[in-house]
Amino acid sequence: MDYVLESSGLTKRYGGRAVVKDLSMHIRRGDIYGFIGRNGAGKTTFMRLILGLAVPDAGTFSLFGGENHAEAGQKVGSVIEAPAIYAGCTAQENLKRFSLLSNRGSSETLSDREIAERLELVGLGDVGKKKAGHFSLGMRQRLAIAIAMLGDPEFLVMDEPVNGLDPEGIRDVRDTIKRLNHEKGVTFLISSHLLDELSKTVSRYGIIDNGVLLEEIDADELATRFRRNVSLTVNDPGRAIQVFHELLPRQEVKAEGAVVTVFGRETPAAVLNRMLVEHGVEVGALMTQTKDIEDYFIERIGG
Amino acid sequence: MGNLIRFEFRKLYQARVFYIGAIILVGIILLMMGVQKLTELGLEGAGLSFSELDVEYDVDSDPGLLAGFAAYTGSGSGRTWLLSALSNMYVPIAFGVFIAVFFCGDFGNHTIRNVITKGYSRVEIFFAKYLVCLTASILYALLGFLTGFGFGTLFWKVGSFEVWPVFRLLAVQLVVIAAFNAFFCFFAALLQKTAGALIVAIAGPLALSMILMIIELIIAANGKEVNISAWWIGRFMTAISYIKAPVKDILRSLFGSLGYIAVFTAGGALVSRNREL
Repeated sequence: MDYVLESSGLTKRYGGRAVVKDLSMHIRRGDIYGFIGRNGAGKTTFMRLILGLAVPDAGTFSLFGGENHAEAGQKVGSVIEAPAIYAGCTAQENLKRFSLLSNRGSSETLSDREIAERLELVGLGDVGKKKAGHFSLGMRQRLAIAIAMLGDPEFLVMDEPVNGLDPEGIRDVRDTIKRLNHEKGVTFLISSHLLDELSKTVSRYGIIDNGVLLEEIDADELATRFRRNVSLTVNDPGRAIQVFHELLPRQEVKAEGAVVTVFGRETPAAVLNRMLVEHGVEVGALMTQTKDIEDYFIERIGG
Repeated sequence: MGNLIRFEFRKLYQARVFYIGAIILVGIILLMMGVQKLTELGLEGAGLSFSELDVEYDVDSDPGLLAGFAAYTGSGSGRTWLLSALSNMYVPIAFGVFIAVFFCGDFGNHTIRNVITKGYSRVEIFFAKYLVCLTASILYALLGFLTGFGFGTLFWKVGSFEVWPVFRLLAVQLVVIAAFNAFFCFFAALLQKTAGALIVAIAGPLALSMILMIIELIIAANGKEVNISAWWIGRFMTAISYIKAPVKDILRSLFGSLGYIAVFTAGGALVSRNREL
C-alpha cells in the first residue's frame, strides 16, 4: 500500500497528560482523510506532530514512505490553527515571500501572473493592494490556503480549513479540495467540526477521542452503515428473511432475534409491511432509522 | 538553506523597522554631535574657551570621555567622530530593538509555522535570521561610521588621518558589533517574544553593565581589585573608540568579542533546537 502518512504509536504529553496516545494512522495516496473528534481530542496536536511543529514523546511517523523531514516538507502544505500570514503585506507579497520557501530548486519568486492565478483560485483575485491585516477572517483563511498550496504539494494538512468562511467560501474550498484531489492526485488530511460539510468531500475517516484513534474507516463503508434501514419485529424471522430474499433479492437483510432489518431506501416501510402480512408473517412493530456521520460519530465516542 | 536566507533578506529590505532603526541610529549620533556643537557655540558666545577654563584634554588619549568633548578643545573632527560614533551607550539599544522586532516577528505572528512545515530545521532558521541580523547590524555600523565622519567633518574638520590605525580600530569595532548581534540574537531565540526581547535590548546592556560594576565594588570593599566590567561588550566599544587606544585594549575587545560571538551563537542554536512552535 502506498501511504503518504503512516504513524505508529505516536504519543505526545503536555504536563504529564497524554494528549495524543499511541496513535497509528494510515493515509493512502489520493485519500481525502477526514479527521474528526471533539474539541481537545488531540487532532491539532497530531497535525502539529506530523508537521514538525511539536516533537513526539514516543512513536514514529513517516511521510512519503520515510523520507526525511526536509525532503518531505517540500511536498507538504498546511493550514494549521490560525492563518499564518504577514498582516503588513499584501496578499501578493505574502505569496511571493512564501514561494521562495516552497521551491528549493529555484531562487525565483512566483511571477505576477502566477500570483494572480493562485489568488483567483482561492477567490482573492480582486483584493488589489489591500494589506492582509485588513482582511476578514474568511479572506485570511483563503490566503492561508493559497500559501499552503504553493509549491504544488502532494499532501495538504488542513486544520479546520473552512473556519470563518461564508457559505460561498465553504463551497469554493470544497470544490478546490475536490479538484486538486481528482485532477492532481493531492492527498488531504482535514480536520473539521462541520461533519456534514466534511462528508461531502472525504474518502476516509479517522475518529479520535481523548487522544486515541478509535477507528479508521472508508467513507463508502461508513455510507453502508449510515443507510436508512427498516427494522421489523416479527413472529417468524426465518420466514420473513425467506420472503425478503425472494421479493427483494438486491437488498441486504439481516435478522437478530425477532428483529429483521432491511437496509436501503429502495422499498418503503409500508410496502415491506404488506409483503410480510401477505405471506403470513405478523409484524408486531416497525421502525425506520436513518443515521448520518454525526450520529455515528456521537455513537463512537460514547456521547 | 539558500532560499531561507533569501526569504529573510526579502523581509529585511521590506521591513519598516529596519529603516526606522537606521533613522534612530543616525538621530542618536547627530544628537550627540548637536549637543556638543551647541555647547561649543554657547561657550564661544560667552567668550569662553577650554584654554581659558584651564582644562587640558587630549581626545586621542582619553578613553573615559566621549570624543564629542573634543569640540571643547577644538580637536573635534571627522576622524574622532568616525571612531566614536558607535561608542554611545544608546547605540547598542538601537541594534537590539531592531533585532528583537525582526527576529521575533515570525514567532509572534506564527508565520514561523509556514517555514518549519516546509522542512527547514529550527537551527537553519536561527542561522538564517542570525545572518540577516548580522548583515543589518554591519550596515547600521557602516551608516554610523559614515554619519560620524560626514557630520564630524561638516561641523569641525576632517582631522589627521592615518589609514591603518583607523582601519584597524573600525575593523575591531565591527567585530564588537557582531558580538552585540550574537548577544541579542541569543535572547531573541531564547524568548521568541518581541516584548521580552525588547526588554532585554533596552534594559539588558545597562543592567548588565551596572551589575558588573556593583560586583566590582563589592569585591573592592573586600580589599581586592578586579576589572570585570571591562569584559562587557559595551566597554569593548568604548575602549577602542579613540585613535591612541592601547594594543592590549584592542586585543581584549577583539578576543572578548570573538568569545561572545562563539558563546552566544552556539547558545542561540542550542536553545532553538526542538522548540515547540
